[in-house]
Amino acid sequence: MADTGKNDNLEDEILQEFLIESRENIDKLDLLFVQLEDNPTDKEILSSIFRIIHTLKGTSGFFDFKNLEGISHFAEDILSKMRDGLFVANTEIVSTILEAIDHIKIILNNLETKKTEGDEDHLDIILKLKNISDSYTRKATQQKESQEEEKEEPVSKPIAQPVLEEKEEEKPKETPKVTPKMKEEESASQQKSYEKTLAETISNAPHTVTETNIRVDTSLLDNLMNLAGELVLSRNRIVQIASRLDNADLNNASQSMSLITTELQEKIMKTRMQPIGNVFNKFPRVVRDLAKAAGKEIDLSLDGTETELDKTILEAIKDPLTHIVRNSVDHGIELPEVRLSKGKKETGSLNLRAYHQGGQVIIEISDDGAGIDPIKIRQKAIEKGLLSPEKANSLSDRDAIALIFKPGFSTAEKVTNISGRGVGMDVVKTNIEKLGGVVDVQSEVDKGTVLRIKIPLTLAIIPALVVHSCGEKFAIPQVNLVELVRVNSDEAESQIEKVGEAEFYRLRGEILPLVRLEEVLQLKRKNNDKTYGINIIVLSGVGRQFGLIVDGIVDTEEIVVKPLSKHMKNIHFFAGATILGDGRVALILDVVNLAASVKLKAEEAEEFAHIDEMHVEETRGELQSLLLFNVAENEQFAVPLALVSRLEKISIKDIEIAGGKEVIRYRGASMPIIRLENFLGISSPPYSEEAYIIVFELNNQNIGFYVSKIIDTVEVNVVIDKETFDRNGLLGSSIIQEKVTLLLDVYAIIEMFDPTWFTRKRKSSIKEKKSRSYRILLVDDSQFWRAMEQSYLEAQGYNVVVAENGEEGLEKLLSGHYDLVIVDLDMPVMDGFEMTRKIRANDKVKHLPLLAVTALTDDEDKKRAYDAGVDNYVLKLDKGLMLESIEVLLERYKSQKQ
Amino acid sequence: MTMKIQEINKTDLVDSTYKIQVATFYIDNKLFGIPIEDVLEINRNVDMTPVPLAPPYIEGVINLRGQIVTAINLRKRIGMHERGSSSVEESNKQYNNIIIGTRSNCVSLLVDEIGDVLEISSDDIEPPPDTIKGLDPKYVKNVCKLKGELLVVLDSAKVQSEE
Repeated sequence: MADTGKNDNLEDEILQEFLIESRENIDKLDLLFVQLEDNPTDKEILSSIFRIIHTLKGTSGFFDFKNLEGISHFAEDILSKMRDGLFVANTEIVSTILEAIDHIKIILNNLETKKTEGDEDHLDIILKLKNISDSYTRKATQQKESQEEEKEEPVSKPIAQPVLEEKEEEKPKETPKVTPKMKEEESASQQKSYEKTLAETISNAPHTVTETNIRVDTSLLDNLMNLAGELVLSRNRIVQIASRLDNADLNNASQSMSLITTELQEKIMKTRMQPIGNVFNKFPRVVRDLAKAAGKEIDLSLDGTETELDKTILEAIKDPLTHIVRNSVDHGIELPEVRLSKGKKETGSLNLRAYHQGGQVIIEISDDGAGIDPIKIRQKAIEKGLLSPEKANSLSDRDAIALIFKPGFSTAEKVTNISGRGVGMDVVKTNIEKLGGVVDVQSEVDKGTVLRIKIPLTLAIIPALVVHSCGEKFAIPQVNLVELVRVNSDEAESQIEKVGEAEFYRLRGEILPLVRLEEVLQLKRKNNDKTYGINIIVLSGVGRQFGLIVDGIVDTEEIVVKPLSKHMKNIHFFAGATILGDGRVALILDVVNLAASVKLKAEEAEEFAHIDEMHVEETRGELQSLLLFNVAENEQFAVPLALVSRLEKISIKDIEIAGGKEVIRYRGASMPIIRLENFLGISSPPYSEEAYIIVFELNNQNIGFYVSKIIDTVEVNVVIDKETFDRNGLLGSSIIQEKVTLLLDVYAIIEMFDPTWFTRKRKSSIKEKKSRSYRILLVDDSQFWRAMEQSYLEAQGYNVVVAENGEEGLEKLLSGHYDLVIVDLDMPVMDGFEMTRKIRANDKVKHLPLLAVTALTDDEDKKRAYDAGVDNYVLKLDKGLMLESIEVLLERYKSQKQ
Repeated sequence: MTMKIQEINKTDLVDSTYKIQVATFYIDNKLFGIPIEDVLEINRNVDMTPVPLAPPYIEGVINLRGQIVTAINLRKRIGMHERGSSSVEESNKQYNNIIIGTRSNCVSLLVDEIGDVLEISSDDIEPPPDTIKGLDPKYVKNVCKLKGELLVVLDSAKVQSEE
C-alpha cells in the first residue's frame, strides 16, 4: 500500500496489535487443547477454543491474510461441531488441530518479521482439517440415523435428547431445526429448554470484551521503574538531611514523602508483575508433545500459577524452565514398562510449583522419575576430566549430584532431538544466577528429582543492612539477613573456635561458620582502629547459614541496586553498588558468593554443622576416659586415657636432638618426641618455656606427644563423628565439654612418625606374632571402642573385621572364617551373652576362642560370661591385658587344633 | 576528508590539514590529551569509594549525579610507575576526574591537573613511536609536538576497555 506515511503507521500499529493479541490467544489455545484432551466434552473449554479461532478467522479476513483465514476457517468448523456435540474430541482431532496451530504460528512469525504470510504451503493441513471434519461428521450422521431408525417404531415414545442439526452449520448461534419425528408439544418445549440452556451458556461465558485493562509499552514501565528508583535515592538523601537538621516541620514533610515514595515504588513494581502462569501454561503442550514423541505417559500438574513475578524475570526463566522440563521428560520419567517393572504407576508425574517466600520466588520442578544417580555422575565427571577420581569419590552424594551444573557436563548417552545433548544445566544455572537467584537439585535414584529455583522478587530496590569494615561501608540485602549477634569483648576471642584455618561460633548450640569481611575482601585496616567486641551478621546464602564478622552496623536503608561496570565483573562478592543517603557509594555484598567462599575456606567447619544433624550413635551409658589437651590455644584434643602411660612436664631446654629427631631423657633413655602439628593439619603451640609430654608405652618403647597444656581427664559418653574429620591420625571428632575435640589415633600418628615403630622386634613378654595373620571378629556396638580396638589390633598385625551388634556378628561369623571372636557384653539387639551362647550352640563355630570385653567390671557379669561360654573376660580399658589374652587364646586354639 | 595522518604531505597541492581539539591534562607533569568528542565532562575532586579486589588500575567508583561510574587511575592504567610517592600519600592524593565515553556507558579518568583545551593542527600530529618511555604504547593514539613539550594523545576506547 503506497499510501501516506501516516496511514502506513496506522496499519502497522493495528497489525502489531493483531499480532500481539493473536500470539496471546494462540498460547491460550495450546493450554486449552491439552485440557480438552482430558475433558473432551467440557462445554466451556470448547466454547473458549471456538471463540478464539472464530476471532482469528474474522480478523485475518479483515487483513486479507488468506492462508491464516483458510486454516482458521476449517479449524473453526471442527470446533463448532464439537461444541455442538456432533462428535467428541479425541487424540487424532486434537493433534491435527494442534498441527494447524503450529502452521498458524509460522504465519504469525512471518507477519512479524516479513509483514507477509510467507511462502510455506499450508494446503495439506487445510485438507487434513477438512477431511477430519467430513469423516467425523459422516460417522456421526450415520450413527444418528441408525439410532433414529431404531427409535422410529415406538412413535409415542418421546425422544429424550434434543436432536441437533445434522447439516453443516456456518453460524453457531441459530436455534437448531427440529426433526419432524418428534411430537409437536414436546418438540416445542424441548426447543424452548434448549434455547434456554444455550442462552445461559452464552451469558455465563467469561466476558473477554471490554475489561479493565490497558496495554502499556514495557519501555514506558521500565522508565517508570528507573524514576521510582531515583525518587527513592532522593528520598533517602532528604530523610538523612532532615534528621540532621532536626526541624519538626521538615521532619513531618519528609516522613510523609517517605511513605508515599515507598508506596509509589511498590505499586510501580507491581505494574510489571505478571503471573507465572503465563509461562507455566506453555508446558502442558510441550510436555504432551515430548511425552508422545518419547512414548512416555506423563501427568503434568501446575501449582501456584497465580504467583506473580516481574516481567523481566518471567522472560528470563522461560528458557531455563523449558530446559529443565525437557530434561525431566527425556531423562527423568521412565518408559511405562520400566516404571511398571520398578513397581511404579505407568504414568509419571511432573509437577511445577511456584510460591513466594521471604522476598523470593521459589519455583520447584519435581518428578517421580528415575532420579539422578550420584555414582553415574561421578563416573561421568571423571571420564570428562572434570575431577580426579579421588576428588570425585570424596564428594558426598549431594555434592556429586550438583556436578550436573558444571560446564561441560552431560549425561545424555546419545544426542536426542528432544532435549539436545542435555548440556544446558550449567547455562540454566548461569542464567538464574544472572537474575540474582540460585538453583539446587535434590534427587533419589528411582524415586525422583526436585529442582528448586529461588529468585529474589525485586531487582531494583531492596531493603538492606548497611555495615562498615575498615572504614568502608557495605550493604547487605535484607532478604539474606537472619539475625545480628554481638559478642562482648571479654568473651569475644574465646568464643570463636578455630579448627585449622576455619573459625566458627556456637550460636545456641548450632555451629556457625564464620568469615571475616576484611579478610575475604583483603581490606586494609587503617589507623589501627581496634574494635571492641565482635559483630556477627548471620546470613543465609544457599540454605546454609554463616556469620559475617564486620566492624559495626550503620543502619538499615532501602537501596537502589545499580550494576557495577564490566571492569569488575570478575569480583563475585559484589552484587552491585548503591548510593547511600549520605551520597556516598557503597558496594552491595553478594551473599550467595560469600557463602560459597566460606565453604571453600572453611570446608571442615561447614560440614561441622552437620554433626548435630547427623545420626549419631548412642553409647548406651558407656563412659570413656579421655585425656584432654591443647596444642595450639583454642584447639582441643583427646586421647584415650587407657593408652597413656604418664604425663611429664618439661622445659624446652630439656629437648635434645639425636639422630635428627627431637628427644628427651626419660627414665634413663632417650624418648622421641612427636610434634603433632607436623603430622596433623593443626596449628602450632604458642611459644612457651614449658610444655607437657604425654608418654605412651607401645611395643615396649616409650614415645611422647608434645603438647602445650593438659586440660583435664574426663569420663564422658563419647559420640564420635567419623566423617567430618576424616584424616589420617584421627579417630574422629566429638563435642566434649562444649568444645569441638579431635580424637587422636595414637597408633596412626606414631606410625606416621616412624613407620617401623610397631614392626620392630623387641624383647617383650608378648610373643611375636606369627607369620599368618589371624582373623579376628570384633563385635562391639560402640563406634569409639570399635575404632580404638581395631586400631591397636591391626597395629599388632591382626586382620580385624567388625560388627555392630550380636546379630550382625553372628551373620559375619557364619559366613566367614575367623580365628577368634571378641565380644562386647552389652550390646543392643543381641547382647554379648546371648551371642556367646549362640556361638557355642552352633557347630560350625562353637570351638572358636571367645574373648569377652566390657567397660565395667562386675562379678555377676563375669560369672554370667563364663557360664555362657567365653574363654576369657577382660576390661576394655586394659589394652595390655587384652592383647595378652588374645595371644594366649590363639596359641591355645592353635595347639588344640594340632 | 579521511586521509591517514601519515599520508599528510605539506607539498600536496590540495590543502589537507585540519584541526582537532584535545582536552589536555597532566599526569606526573607530563602532558596528555583526549579528543574532545570523547569527553563528557570534567569534575574536580569527587568522593571515591574503593572497590576491594578490583584490578589495580581501578581506583574505585564515584557517584556522578546518581550514576555509579568506575574511576580509572590513569597513571596506573597506562603503565606509568610511581615516582617516590608512598602509599600513604597515594591514599590522600586528590585527583581530578575526566569523564569520558557516552552518557549510558562512561568512566572517569583520574588525572593530576587539568590543562586547557588545545587546538591541534593535523600537521603537528605524528604517529606514536614504537616505544614511549614509561608508557604502555597500546593506549597511545598519537603524539603531537608542541612548543616546548610533547603532547601524548590517548586512545580513549582502549583506556576504557576492560582488558
